[in-house]
Amino acid sequence: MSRKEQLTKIIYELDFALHELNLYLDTHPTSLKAMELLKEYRNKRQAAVALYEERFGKYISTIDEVPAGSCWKWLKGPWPWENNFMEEN
Amino acid sequence: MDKNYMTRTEYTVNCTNCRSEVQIPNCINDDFCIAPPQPRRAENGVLAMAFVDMQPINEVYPEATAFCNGTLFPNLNMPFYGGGRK
Repeated sequence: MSRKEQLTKIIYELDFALHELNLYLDTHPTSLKAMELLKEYRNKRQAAVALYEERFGKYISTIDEVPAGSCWKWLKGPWPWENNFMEEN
Repeated sequence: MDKNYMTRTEYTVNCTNCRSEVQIPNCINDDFCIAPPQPRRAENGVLAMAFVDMQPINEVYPEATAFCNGTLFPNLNMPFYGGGRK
């Protein structure tokens, strides 16, 4: 598993945790513990994305940030399902 | 089948199988109707009432486990093992 895939996997996991907490907070708006966890996961995710972007460029590139080089690189990247998260665990 | 397993109260309902008048506890079409006498339905039609408690947040999985289990919360992690009476 390359460093890039590892970081992507970590970001996916943190996204999932954040999404779960979002659903929990929808029904428990005053839960301090959930709010704490949310802050914790948010910091972790920001750190992971920063690490990713240091080495591999934009994690989520919107249309105005994609480098308009000689050719449109979107097709060259891996397809969303091309990951081997499941292989090693 | 023991016909009078129910108490001897006489009333009629529609037999759900052959739609005919059913004299509880036995159907008037005894010769061909195979439906067992229907249990009495609640008059007001309320079958069940669900109650789901507010979910406490005692502990959470680490991110990697949560990702694989499909939930962050151990108290929601109820994979279906199926099987039944084998």
